[in-house]
Amino acid sequence: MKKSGGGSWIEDESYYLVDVSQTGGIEIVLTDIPEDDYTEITYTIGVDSTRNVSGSQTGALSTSNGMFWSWNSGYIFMKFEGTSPQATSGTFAYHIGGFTTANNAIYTNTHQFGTNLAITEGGTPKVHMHVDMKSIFDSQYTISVATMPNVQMPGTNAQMVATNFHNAFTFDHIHQ
Amino acid sequence: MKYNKIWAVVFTALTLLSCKKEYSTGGGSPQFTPPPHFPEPVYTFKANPLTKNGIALGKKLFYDPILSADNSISCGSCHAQMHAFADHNVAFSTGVGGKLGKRNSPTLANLAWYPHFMADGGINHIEVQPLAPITDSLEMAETMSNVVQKLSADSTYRALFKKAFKTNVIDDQKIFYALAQFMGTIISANSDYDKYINGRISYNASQEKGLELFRQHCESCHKEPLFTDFSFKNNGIDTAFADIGRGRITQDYNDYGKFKVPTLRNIEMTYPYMHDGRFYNLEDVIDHYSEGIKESHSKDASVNNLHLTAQEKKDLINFLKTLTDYSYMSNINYAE
Repeated sequence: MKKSGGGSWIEDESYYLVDVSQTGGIEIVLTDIPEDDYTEITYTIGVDSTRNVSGSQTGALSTSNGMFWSWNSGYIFMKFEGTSPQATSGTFAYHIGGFTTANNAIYTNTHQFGTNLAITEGGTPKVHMHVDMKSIFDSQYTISVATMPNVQMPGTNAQMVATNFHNAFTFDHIHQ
Repeated sequence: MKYNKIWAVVFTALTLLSCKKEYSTGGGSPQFTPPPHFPEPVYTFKANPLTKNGIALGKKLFYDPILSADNSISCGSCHAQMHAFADHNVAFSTGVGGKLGKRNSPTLANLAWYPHFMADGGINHIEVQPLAPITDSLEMAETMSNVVQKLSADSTYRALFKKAFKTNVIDDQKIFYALAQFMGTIISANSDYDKYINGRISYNASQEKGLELFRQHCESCHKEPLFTDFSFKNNGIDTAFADIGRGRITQDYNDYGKFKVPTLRNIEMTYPYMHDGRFYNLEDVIDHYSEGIKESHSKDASVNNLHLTAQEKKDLINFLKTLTDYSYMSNINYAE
């Protein structure tokens, strides 16, 4: 989070797993942000390469969450599964990840609030983000479940889906 | 005066300890002593301090079928100490529901020196290695969240985790930590080869000749003293690949048909050989390298028919048998 007067605040151990299939899973609560006015937020979609090669982790990075490839070590940054009559088997599954230079699928997004987000003692301001899942199919690359129903490992296809997915995020507004 | 003497002894002990390389910061007695003729280990237990209780818990988990979906199969089912922690001389191991695996179960020893795991090197850390066999549908077919649930429901395990990690909360990380403590402390470095290297015994003429041949023809990949350089090589066993090996991980056509150079330690005990267990004895393996090499696009340039004499083959095998470490296979610390 960038401060209006310069400088920024970076959260320690800042790993969150957002489960859109669960009610309430899409609210991320940040606590103990230093009191100040903030103008923008930066976050990473994916897991930094260090944590991909450092053995067993906890919390959002626990293997119990099913977001780690057992046979090809590395985190699955995003899982998007569903059914479609266009997919030959009727289903599609995108498990997207990749942390090596060749297969890098990590994206960092920055959104400017356009106004100051004031963090005060006891305050609970909210930042509303929109995620338009349609972007996965048609932003930078055209992705089709008919021709590419399964992406389940790092590589070029995963990078294309990751590129499209990071475009899905937009900042909407602030509740002060 | 008496007190002074005691202090002197304590200080000497502390000085000695501080001179030694430390592989453990936790309590208990560390059971990890890298053999003097080994390189530096890859895994040093830094984030996962070794303790007696941690190793004991790892051993219990290793031999407990609770890790599998129907509580029928343990790690030890397919990694048997008497076979140098490979399977019981079968090409493929049987998983939950009688399903057969797709690659030969590897030996387990000196894993703290491994930079990656599995025949294709797809796993990059000893702590996350057990995730593969536990969750593979052809092996233990379980989920980590179920394993955590089953262990948490067991009061014996709750007590053991508390002893090992000072916490009531059992999670996948603590399970992997314990398993890494046990697996990472399994060391095989007391074979006749090790005794020979350390000047404690001599080889007979055939073993000497075998070592000479080995260093001439095999050493470049099966590097001493771990007997692997951990690289991926196509050793000419196929012209077309039913299993693309390393290629599955890198998706690089040049890596199709390559597999990790396996250690040769305890090779006498770990038959059958190759990733698919196609060779049943060492004679077949040596025959392959002598006159059975097959060409393909990724075959390693250094692998060519050696055209060994019958005596040379015998010498090589006699040398390979000096890599058998009986004390490791009977070490009570590793036993079920």
